[in-house]
Amino acid sequence: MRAAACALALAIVLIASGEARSAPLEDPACRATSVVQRSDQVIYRLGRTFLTAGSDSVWSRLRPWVRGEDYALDALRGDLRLLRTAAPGETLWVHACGLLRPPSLEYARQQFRPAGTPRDTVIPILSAAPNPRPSTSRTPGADPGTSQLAVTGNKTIAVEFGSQQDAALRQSLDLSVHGAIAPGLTLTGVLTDRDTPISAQGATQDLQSIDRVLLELKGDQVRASFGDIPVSMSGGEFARVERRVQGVRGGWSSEAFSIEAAAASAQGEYHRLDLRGADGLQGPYLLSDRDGGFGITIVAGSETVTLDGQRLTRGEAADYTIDYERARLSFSNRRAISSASRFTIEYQYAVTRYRRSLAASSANWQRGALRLGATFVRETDDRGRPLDLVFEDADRSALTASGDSLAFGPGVTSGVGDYDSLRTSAGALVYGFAGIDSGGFQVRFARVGPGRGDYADSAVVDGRSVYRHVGSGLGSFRVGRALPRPESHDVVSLSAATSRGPVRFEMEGAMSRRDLNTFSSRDDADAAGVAGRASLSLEGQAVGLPGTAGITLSARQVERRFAPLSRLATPFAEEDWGLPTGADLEHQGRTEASAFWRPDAAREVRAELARLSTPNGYAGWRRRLSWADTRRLATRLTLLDTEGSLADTISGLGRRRATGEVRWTSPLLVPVLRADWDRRRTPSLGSPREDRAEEAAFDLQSGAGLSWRLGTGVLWRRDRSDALLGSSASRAFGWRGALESPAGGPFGSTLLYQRRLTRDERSGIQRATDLATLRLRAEPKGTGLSGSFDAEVTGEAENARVRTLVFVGPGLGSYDAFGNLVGVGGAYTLVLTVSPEFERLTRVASSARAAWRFGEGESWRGSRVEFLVDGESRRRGSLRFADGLLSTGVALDDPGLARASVHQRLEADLAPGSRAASLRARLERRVNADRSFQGFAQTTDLRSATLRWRARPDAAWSLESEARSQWQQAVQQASGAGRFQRTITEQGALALAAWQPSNALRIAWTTDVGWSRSAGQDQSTRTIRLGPDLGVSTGAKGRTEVSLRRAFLSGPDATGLLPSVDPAGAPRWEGSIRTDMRLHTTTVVGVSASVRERPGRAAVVQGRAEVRAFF
Amino acid sequence: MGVRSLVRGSLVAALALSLTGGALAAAAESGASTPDSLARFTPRDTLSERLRRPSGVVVDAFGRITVADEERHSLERFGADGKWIDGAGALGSEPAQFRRPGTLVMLGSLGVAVHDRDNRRVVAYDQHLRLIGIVADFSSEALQSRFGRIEPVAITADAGGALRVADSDRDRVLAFDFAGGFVSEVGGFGGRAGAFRGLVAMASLPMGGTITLERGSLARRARGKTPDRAAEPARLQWLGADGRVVRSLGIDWARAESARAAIAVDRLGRVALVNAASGELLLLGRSGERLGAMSGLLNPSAVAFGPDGALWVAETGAARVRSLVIEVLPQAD
Repeated sequence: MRAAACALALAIVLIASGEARSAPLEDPACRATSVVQRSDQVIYRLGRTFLTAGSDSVWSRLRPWVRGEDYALDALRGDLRLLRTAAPGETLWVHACGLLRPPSLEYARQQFRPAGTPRDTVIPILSAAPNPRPSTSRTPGADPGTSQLAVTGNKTIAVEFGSQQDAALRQSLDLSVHGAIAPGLTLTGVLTDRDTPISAQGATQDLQSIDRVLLELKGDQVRASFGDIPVSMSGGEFARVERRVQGVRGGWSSEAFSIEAAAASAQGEYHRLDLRGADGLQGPYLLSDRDGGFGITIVAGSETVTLDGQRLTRGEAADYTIDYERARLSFSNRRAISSASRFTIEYQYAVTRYRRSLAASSANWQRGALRLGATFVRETDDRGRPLDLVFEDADRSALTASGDSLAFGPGVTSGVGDYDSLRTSAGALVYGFAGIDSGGFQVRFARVGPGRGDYADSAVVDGRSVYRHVGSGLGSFRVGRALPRPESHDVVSLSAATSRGPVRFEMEGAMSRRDLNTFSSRDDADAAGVAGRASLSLEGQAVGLPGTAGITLSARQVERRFAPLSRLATPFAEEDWGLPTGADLEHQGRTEASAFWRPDAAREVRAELARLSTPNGYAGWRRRLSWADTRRLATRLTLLDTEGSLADTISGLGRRRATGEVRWTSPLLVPVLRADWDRRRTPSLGSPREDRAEEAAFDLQSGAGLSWRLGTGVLWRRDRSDALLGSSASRAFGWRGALESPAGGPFGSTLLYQRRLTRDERSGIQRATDLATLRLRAEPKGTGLSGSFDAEVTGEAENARVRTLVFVGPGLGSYDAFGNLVGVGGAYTLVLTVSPEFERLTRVASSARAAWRFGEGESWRGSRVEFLVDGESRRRGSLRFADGLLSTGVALDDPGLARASVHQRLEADLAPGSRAASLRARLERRVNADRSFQGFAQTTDLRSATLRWRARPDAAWSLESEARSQWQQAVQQASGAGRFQRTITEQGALALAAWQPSNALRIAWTTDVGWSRSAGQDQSTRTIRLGPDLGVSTGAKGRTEVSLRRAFLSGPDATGLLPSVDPAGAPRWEGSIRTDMRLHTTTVVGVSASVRERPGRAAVVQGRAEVRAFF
Repeated sequence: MGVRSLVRGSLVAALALSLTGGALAAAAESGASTPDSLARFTPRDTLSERLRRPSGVVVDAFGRITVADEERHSLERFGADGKWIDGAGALGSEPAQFRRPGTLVMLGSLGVAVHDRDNRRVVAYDQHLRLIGIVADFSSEALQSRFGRIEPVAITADAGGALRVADSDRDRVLAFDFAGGFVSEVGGFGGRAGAFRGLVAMASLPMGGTITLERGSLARRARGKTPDRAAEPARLQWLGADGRVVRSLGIDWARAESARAAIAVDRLGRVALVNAASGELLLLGRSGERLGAMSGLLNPSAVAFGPDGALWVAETGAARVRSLVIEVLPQAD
């Protein structure tokens, strides 16, 4: 019994102890708390105080944190401070022990107050935010100012070497910095610096365009940027400047005062072009420098484009595209361009003369109703740092003596060159082109403008422009080197504005100084100019009428010598005054009086009277009356009447114009009716020229209540012009349609179509312009089917080009009779002549795709069949319907297509998940045609078929086999050389077996057999190409990949589709090896080498060694 | 007994699936995380202006977002405030034109590279969306004669702008240097880690490595069907900068179809994956542990991390790009 009791007691003890072991009691004073890290916070309040010293432990999901290294804990206040960079979003767990009922951290003495006192002196409970500390001016929870910058990036250094090149060092550095550097002050910065040769044409880019640094510092009152930044000063109208520069910009602002300053190296020179469109020509429109020269580069992002007064945005799917490198602007097919279109492009073109610097500052002070502002801008060339040229003493002397006129240096050097000297019948010495490096002189030519030179550019030979003598005063070029003049340009502006009740007064005065040649003090007397403006306006409750009314009186005077940094006049404002496009309206004296009455917020009537005089003798009056009603039935009407005369010699100038619009806005439909009546008399060759235009348009658009966007419209326009030299008349009719489904969903469609017919009423010639976008898409759910068809139609232009082949004798040229580069052994040289004349083209790009995804089983899931047709054509003349989905036959045979390409592909993936037989079949055809050169055409046609089988019999083995067949044909036709045609057929098969016993090793063997034959050949060129591929882990921190191929060729030599300097057929030996080794967690070293060897040729070896460090 | 357990288990599984399905649908409506999620995704900003079918997205250090639109064949650029800035590109084959642009990646610190799918090339732009040039043209005779046909299905670039291309035709990864020169070829067709069987997506790891995603067969079968042991799930592989396989992991998509997916990796090494067919978003830790999931996205075709840690997802089916703020929940313990 006792034993039983003992056993029972023992069992109870054991059970109890077991329970105790299985469920230990937790100390209620110890517990874990989680916090989520934030990028802008380094101190986190745990919500507990009086923690036991040393009882804390902190860990994240990745690892435990080390006290003193990763974090610090204020045991008294329970504040966790991070000592390492915060990982936003990552959770931290903090386990600590402490008092169960901690006392308050602070106590306040209770003071007696009579009942009803509103103040509470009880210390509030601890909140989530840390307590404020009187000695610290910042919030304790915010970043304390220690380094909290997160730095990421890469540094790569590589050495490239080879048997056909010298060793070259390549490097790149990419760096990103982000974080807080002081309380309330964040820094974001990136740096890219690389030595890279990528470009659209494969040429080396200017390194200036690749190196980029951009830093932004943001605070409550302070902001600064450094790097490739925009600078904009718009405080004063006369000193307004917008530039894209490389430099630094900073600003500080308080409630009453703000200041901004910038110091930078200007990337380009500002220029504005006002252009009129051409019927059906969407582009390209060439941008020029201020002297009208082309071949410039536009500073990226510096352009501002307006079309008919509306600012446009970049993007082909938006309004326009711009080719910065070639300085060409094209409008998208959403913006139809006609001869009535007027567009303005403000841009900067890259400086090529001297390094240019920009310094700008502005300050504004406001107190009550008074506002004062000052702006100073200096843009100056550094005459000691010319670009792209080296000055000689004679050049400096010429510049010093030239004043503000053009300066030229000597342009003829005797020695081997492209020119020889000749004597004209009048005995004058001129220079004539003798051939590349075939003359006795090197001659440089400078552009002086049409009618001012003796030479004209006539052709391009081997990339060099060739000039010919055309007679004195008949050309645009002269012999010599144009010496660029360094300029300096200062503008200072002061402005003030105040208001009292309904009265507002504003004034601005500015002074400019522009020295066109800082080398010379000649002609500096007229460098300074002044400008000023003032306006007084009264606006308030209309007397005796509902609503508000106001009047404004303003006057401005811009002296002839005043030189602003940006254009002051609005684009094409001169047309409103009866002046021709491009007339100087920058310098003017103008007084204006205007009045308005707004019965309510939706209606306004405005009347205006203005008087203008310009330094070149124009004086005129302008009267304008406008009405606007923006209610549901909206109406707009503007009447303009201008009368003026030019230097009292040509009178009757001016413009009369009436424009009106009626719009009714409903949820479903919005009809709009517009009309424009315009009469303009402008001076032309000493007499007035009259332009008359009438236009009417009707649009019908869908309202906001419809999810689909619909629209259609018609336009009618008539233009007539009578001038001294003749008259012209044209009539245009256009219509448009638009349909766009809601975005997203299984089906979608977009159709935009515009057609404009312009008829010259004198000659009867009619031109049609088509612009269209068509996008259809279907992806019915659950069927696996999908399809789309896209097409874009637009009008563009290209310079007419001529290829001329000059016979120089066997072995003396580099080209064959068709212009193929064949290297040594050629008998011709190639001369490319680019005409300044544009050739109008209608461009159509299309893409059609149909796909079916199917398969349910594990093997068949993911199977697909896909058919794709891509086409692109440029047709001389009007659009043809067949261009929308271009056929290969049309591309190959239609001589009206300047360029065309068609790509057709049918592809099937069957049973991609199968281990035994995964199949891929592909049929493909590519056709290209190029007839863009006069007298030359080339077409290529490539057809191929492949069938591939793959298997994975087990985890280690994979097998692959592919059969292929290919047919290629090239045809060249050159005037004077006849026709060249070559057809090549090829069949072959490839087999590959790979064995991969583990992740560390992969061995593959490839065997490729092929037969190729040129049409007309009896025998085929047979090629057997085989070899191994090896991938192996080398040690614990590296991997090596090796590939080797040996080709066995028999039969006749392989031939390429077109004659070329490159050898055809496979190399006899080809191999590569690459080894990568990780030196450190952040650093990898890689070495690679490849070799290619062909019979009778030296082996080509290339190699590369690189170190890459990440941080 | 075994049959009873099987029946009971099936019933429980069916009930769980139906409940999960309902919860997933509700989550999709609200844009919230799925119930098993350990991280919470809170939608913040939505970009939809000028977008028809967004197919690629990338966010630079200043928070500016560039989106590729495969229907408009264009790139659209948005400011950090979400306002549309400008665009580039149109349908065509010229250097500044696209045919179905797809993946977008940062090329170094400031540049952007876009995968021009039907033109089979990679085109580089600078921070002003100015064309820099064609980094790699896979139709070029030089590349084809050396590597055979290349069908790029995804691209990525590391912090130094070195490009990597996933070739679906040969199931390999081609590595190029920052200047577009070929560097190495990794993998090939095969089932083991280190080889690939249906590459669909790829992204760069913070220290120069690469993470790849392969299309898989069904890992989780539909209701009432027995899982096939022979089925292979979609697979993630972490490749080091030295080309070695660091880790591989099966991905349990709710639907097996993952022919179109995308990956993004943040600087902490967290991995975000989206599956266009199933509308799923997965968030994995740097070691591959599952941190969170979200479903109900409408054809998510691209994903990118912003500088503030937010996730940007391009939803092709909804014609929008959304940012999701990630918050790891305490239950993640």
